[in-house]
Amino acid sequence: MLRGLVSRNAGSFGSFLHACVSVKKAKAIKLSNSVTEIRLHRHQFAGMAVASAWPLPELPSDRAPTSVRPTITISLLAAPPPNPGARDWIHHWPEELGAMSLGRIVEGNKFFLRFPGLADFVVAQNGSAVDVWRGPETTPETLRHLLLDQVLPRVVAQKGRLVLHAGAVRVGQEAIAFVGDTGRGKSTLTASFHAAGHSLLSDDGLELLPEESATRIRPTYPSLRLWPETVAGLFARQPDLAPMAHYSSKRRVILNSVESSAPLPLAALYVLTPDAQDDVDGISLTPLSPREACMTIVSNSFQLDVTDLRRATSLLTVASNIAQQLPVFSLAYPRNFAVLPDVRQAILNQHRQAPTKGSGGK
Amino acid sequence: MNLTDTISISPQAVATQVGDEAVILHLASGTYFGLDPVGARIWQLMKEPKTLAEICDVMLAEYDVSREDLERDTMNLISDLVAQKLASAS
Repeated sequence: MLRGLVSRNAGSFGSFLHACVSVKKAKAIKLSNSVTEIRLHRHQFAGMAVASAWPLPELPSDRAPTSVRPTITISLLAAPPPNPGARDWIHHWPEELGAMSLGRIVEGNKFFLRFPGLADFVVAQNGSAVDVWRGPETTPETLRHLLLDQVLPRVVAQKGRLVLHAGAVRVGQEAIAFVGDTGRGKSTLTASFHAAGHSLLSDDGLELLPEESATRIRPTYPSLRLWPETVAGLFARQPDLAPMAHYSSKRRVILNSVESSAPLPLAALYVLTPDAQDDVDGISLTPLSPREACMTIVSNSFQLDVTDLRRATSLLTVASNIAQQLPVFSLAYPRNFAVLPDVRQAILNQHRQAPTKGSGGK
Repeated sequence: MNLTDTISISPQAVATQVGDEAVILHLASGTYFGLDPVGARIWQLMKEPKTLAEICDVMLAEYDVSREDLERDTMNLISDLVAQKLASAS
């Protein structure tokens, strides 16, 4: 029989920068006592220069001269931004993906991202500016978590990049990456490789850079966020930890020696299966078809305006091209810490057997 | 649904070919669907509005299958596509 449809798949905040336009010398003398110059903090996110009104210590510093215009400028709003009209809300993400809502502000053609009770973010259509309203109960670290892990990956995607919700570590001169639904152990497996000596690239976001014969990856930023029991189960000596958000007991691992390197070739992508712990006896690695790989890449990609036909078409095309050259595997294993060394070994064995196409230079 | 119905792809559906298979995105729901090589060929035929009978005529010339099985399975696939709002039949 024929078959057709087969699957479905913030510290303290500074005040705002006041732009002082050129004034005549006589007037400048009077202004000099009333205008406070606030230095913008310059960081790197997904290889882009980000200028923020307040420091973002999780991000690497941007060493470019201050005369270089930042790609994304982040400002704080002194008052809540006007809400989108009742008909201008265009998408709501479910709880497990962050419980946020996307609206459109017709005046100025901007996007409005609301995290109910926490913060609002107003994003310029071209992704060049993000204005932030922090709710009264929201702590600085919560605001940074929302900005770095939810908003900025989507802003980068809005600028036409493919940003995968994935963890990655370095293996030799290449990278391997892990995707999986929330709670499937993506960060735990990434952290396990890191604890075993592999350089951590990111636990959350990777920009995919397709090239003629291979796909390279660039981490959005080096992060590792874990539950306290995961830290206890993985690290012989507890690393330094910091709060991630006031509503979660997850902790950020303070990463002292994170390398900043050129984009690495991606050797393989592993998809953590959603099997319940009791359903899996051993470790299995199963190659996915290009169609399954394409669906995996697209469904794990960050997007801002999910209703944008042109961007959706472009994303599908790019994901299709990547899926036809990148080895993608379904990975199943029992969810307990004791088995993780064997899981790592199975992945490394597979990696040794099947070097990436176009990973020349090894 | 019957063989004289004209089948059209929904403007909310965006598809890409992946090898000989296809992936479809339904924009309004953000849901992705996969089509195997046979489903991908039928989707290709649907790009220009055709009747179900016209689609079956082309498929019958390309696949080693009885007309009865082909019509039943094609109708099932297109019913699935219509139910998922990826296509319409009129």
